[in-house]
Amino acid sequence: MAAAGELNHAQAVFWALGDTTRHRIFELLIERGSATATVLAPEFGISRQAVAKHLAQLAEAGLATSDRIGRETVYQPSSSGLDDLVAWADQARALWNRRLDRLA
Amino acid sequence: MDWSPGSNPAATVVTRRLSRHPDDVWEHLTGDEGFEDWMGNGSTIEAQPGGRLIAADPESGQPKIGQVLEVEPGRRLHWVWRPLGENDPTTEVIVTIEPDPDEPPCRTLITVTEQPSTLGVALASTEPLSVVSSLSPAC
Repeated sequence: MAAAGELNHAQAVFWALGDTTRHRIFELLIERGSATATVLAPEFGISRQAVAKHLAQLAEAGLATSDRIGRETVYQPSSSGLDDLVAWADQARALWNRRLDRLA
Repeated sequence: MDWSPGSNPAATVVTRRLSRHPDDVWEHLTGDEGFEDWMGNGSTIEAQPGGRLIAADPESGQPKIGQVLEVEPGRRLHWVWRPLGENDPTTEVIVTIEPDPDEPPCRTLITVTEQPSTLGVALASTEPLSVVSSLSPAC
């Protein structure tokens, strides 16, 4: 069912952005247009592996896309995850309007 | 968790004016007959923190089970629910009721906020990402 699919995507996006570090990494991707785990790791004071994991999770939620360039994976921001969130919210709003009609 | 209507960038907010008394609306949210009338046959709610909620929810076609998180009698009801048969924590809903400042004929202002639930996940930042706005048709 479409509703459940959208809800799950919205939850994935929300979960991905619910972590402060991951949220900040997403903002940095938007600010800079692209980034790699190697570049970001020193700025966050965490390991390259940890940043790479965050980036992969953002990509999984549809908030980033990646390209393999040599030995590095370069990430760009993507809005498809946010689109899922907006689609879910639109649907939720329509449902609540119908539910509230029953109270009128 | 610290969460009020409008504070979350991913929340859906719907506001509506109703031509009913706020107490009557509250009864529909929390009373046995009222809740069943509202959420469909077989729906039940225990309007107390930790109380169980079952919603037939014919509007979505997906019956839901949930738990009441907070109750402010006559004013505010906060629950978490999910479609039956799915394992995901699903969404949190906050319903607030207040007397309509512009009465009559509208007498109640009801606001529903729903968002994917973050229960079990730390939500540290609420930087604006995508604001989903409200709408408020007249009663």
